[in-house]
Amino acid sequence: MRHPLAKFALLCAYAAAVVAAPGLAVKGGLVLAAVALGRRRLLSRRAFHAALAFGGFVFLVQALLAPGEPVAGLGPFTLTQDGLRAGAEMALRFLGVLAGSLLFLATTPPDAFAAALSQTRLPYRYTYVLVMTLRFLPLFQAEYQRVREAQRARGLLLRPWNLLAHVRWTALPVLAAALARADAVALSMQARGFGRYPRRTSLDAIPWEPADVGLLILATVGFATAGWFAAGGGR
Amino acid sequence: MNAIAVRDLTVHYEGRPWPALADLSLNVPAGELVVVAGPSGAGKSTLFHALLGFVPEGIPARVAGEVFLFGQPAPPSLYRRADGIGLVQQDPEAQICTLRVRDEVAFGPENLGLPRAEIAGRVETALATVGLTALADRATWTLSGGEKQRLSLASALALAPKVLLLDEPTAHLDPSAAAGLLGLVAELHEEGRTVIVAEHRLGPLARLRPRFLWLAAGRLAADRYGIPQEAALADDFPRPAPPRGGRLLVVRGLSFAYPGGNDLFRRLSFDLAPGEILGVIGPNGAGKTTLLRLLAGLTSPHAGTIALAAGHRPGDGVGLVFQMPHHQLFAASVAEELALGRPRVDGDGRAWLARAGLVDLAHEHPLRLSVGERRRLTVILALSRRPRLLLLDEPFIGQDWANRRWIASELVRAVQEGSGAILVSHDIPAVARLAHRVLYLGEEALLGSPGEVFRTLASQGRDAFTPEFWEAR
Repeated sequence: MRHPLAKFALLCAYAAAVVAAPGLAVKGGLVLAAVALGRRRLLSRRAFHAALAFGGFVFLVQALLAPGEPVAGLGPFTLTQDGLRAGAEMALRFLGVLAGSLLFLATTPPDAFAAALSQTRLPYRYTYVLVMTLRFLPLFQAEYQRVREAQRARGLLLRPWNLLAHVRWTALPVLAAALARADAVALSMQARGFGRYPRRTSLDAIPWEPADVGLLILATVGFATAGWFAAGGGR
Repeated sequence: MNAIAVRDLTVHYEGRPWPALADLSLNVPAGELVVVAGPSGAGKSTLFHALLGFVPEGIPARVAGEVFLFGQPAPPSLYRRADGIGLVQQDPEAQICTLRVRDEVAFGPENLGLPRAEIAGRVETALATVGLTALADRATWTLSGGEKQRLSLASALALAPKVLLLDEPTAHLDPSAAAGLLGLVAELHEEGRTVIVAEHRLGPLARLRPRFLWLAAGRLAADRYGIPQEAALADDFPRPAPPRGGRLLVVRGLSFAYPGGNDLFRRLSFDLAPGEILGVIGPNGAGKTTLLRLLAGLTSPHAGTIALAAGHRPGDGVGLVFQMPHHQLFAASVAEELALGRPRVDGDGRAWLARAGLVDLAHEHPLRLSVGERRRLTVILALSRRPRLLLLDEPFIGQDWANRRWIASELVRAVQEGSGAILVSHDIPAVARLAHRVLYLGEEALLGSPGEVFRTLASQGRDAFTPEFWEAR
C-alpha cells in the first residue's frame, strides 16, 4: 500500500488540475483518467452514482439558466451556447474532484490516513482529532440506536420529517452522552502524558518507499500543471 | 517508604457549599493494596482526581494540602504525573482513544517520547501481562467490555507506574470478566505494586486482606484491615413474597440472531407469574439485553412466540429501565420528563418524585443530576406507568449501597402490587437476594430456583456467577 500522505498530495494536485484545466477536452480527459484508474471501485459506488446524477443536474441548471446565444428552446427555458459550456465545465469539475476523493477513500483506510497524519510535524493535538473521530463514530452510532429505542419504549414516536424533534429528542441526548464522556476521555489521555511534550514518538512508522516518492513527484507535476493552467497556459 | 503521602488535603469545587474532601491525611506504604469505599459523593473520585492532579487542572476547585509521591512533592500537573501513577476508570468506553489495541498500549509511551524499540518492548510486556497478546491487531471498538478494561490496564502498565489507581474498574463487566480483572489486580499487587482501588464488589479483594478506607462526606470515616461494618450492612435487601399463581408472560421456542452473529437463546421457553422476579445472568454477548428488547417489542424474534397477558405495546404494559440512564432521558426538566410520551401518569407526579427523593430537583435538567438521582428518575419513569411487566437492564451499575437498596425495595414493591419483573444483572449477590428464579444465558441456558442454578454453575466451574464468590467475609 502506498503512503497515505503521498496519495493525499496526489489527490490535492489532481483536484487543483481539474479545477484549473482550460477547455472541456482537458477537463474531460482528466475526469476520464480518474474513472479509468478507478474502474469498478468507482463505478460500483453509490456515492459515484449520486455524483453523476448531481453533475447532470448542475449541467442542466447552468445550461438552461445562463444567458447567451440560444441553441434550442425547451418550454419556457432556452439552451444557450455559453450555458452548455459553463454547465459542462462545472459538472466536470464536480465529478473530477469527487471521483478523485472517492478513489482516495477507496484505497486508503481512514485509520491509516489518521496515523500518517499524526506522524507529520503538524501539532498532534490537532491531527489527533481525526483519530478520535474515527474511534468514537461507531460508539455514537450504537448510542443513537439505543436512544431511538428508548424513545419507542417510552411511547415517544418521532415523524421522520420532524427535524426539530429529532434534534431535540435524539441528537441532544447523544451529544449529552458524548459530553459526559469527554471529561473521562480527557483525564485518561492526560494521565498517559498526552500534551506533556510538543512532540511524541510513534510505535509504527509508516515508511516512505521509492514508489511513494514517485507519487510525490507526480503530485508536484500536477500542481505545476494546475498553476500553468491557472496562469492561462494551454488555451 | 510511603508510595503516597497526603497531608491535610482539602478540595472545594467551585459553586459547592461544602468541600468534597476535607483535611484528609493519609500514608500509603509502597506495595500496599488499598480499597477505597463509601457512598456516592463521599469523595472517592475526588481523592483519585487529587492524586492524579486532575483537580484543579482539569476541574476548577480550590485545593489546599500536599501530595507526595515516594517522598517527593507530586508535580502539580496531571500529565507530569503520568509515569508515576497509572489510572483505570469505570467506563470502558471512556478511556480508549486509538483505533488498534497495540496503538492504545503504545499511546502513553509515545506521549513520553520514548524510543521506538523501548515502546515496542513495553507494549509486548503489558499486553502479555493482561493476556491480550492475541488481540494486538484488533480494532479497539470491536473488543468486549472486559477486554477493553484489560486494555486500559495494559495501557496504564505500559507507563511503568509506581502506583496504580483503579476507579470502580469492574462496574460495567460481567462476573467472569470482573473476576478476571480483579485477579489481575491481585497479581499486580503480589508483584509488589502499590494498588489503590475504589470498588463496590468487595468479596474477591477482601480475600487478599487489603487495607480498607471508608470515606463519608469527604472525611476518612474508617481506616482498617478487614471489611468495614458499613459494607457488611450494605446488602440487606428486602425479600419479595412468593409469586401468585397465574401466568403474566409466556415465552415459547424463542430464537434470535444478529446479522452475521451466532444464534442466541436456541429455542428458549419460560413463563413469568404476576409477583415474580426472574433474574437473568450470564456472560456479555449471550443475549441478555436482546431478550429484554424482544420482550419490550423493540425487535422481533426469528422464531418462537412471546405472549403477554397485558398486551404488547412499548411504553404501556411494559416498563423498561435501560442500562445507561442518559440514553432514556430527553426532556428539559425532571418534571417534564415524568409527563413525557404518555400523558397518563398514575397518581400524582409529585408523589412519584417524592418517592425517589427528587422533589427539590423537579426543575433541574435531568443530565445535571448525579448518577444515583438519574437512576432513581429512570426507575420512577417506568414505574409511574404501572407496567404489568417491568424490565430492568443492569439497574445497579455505578450505584452506591443506599441507591441499590432503594432500587431493590421499589422492585419488590412493584411485584407485590402484581407486576412481574425481569432483572438482568451482573450483580450476582443482588440477583441471589431478589430473584424467585434465575435464568443463566450462556453456551446453554439454565433455568431454575436460585439455589439450583448457582449449584449447577458452581459444579461447572463458573464460580464467578455464584453469590459465594462475591461475598465479603
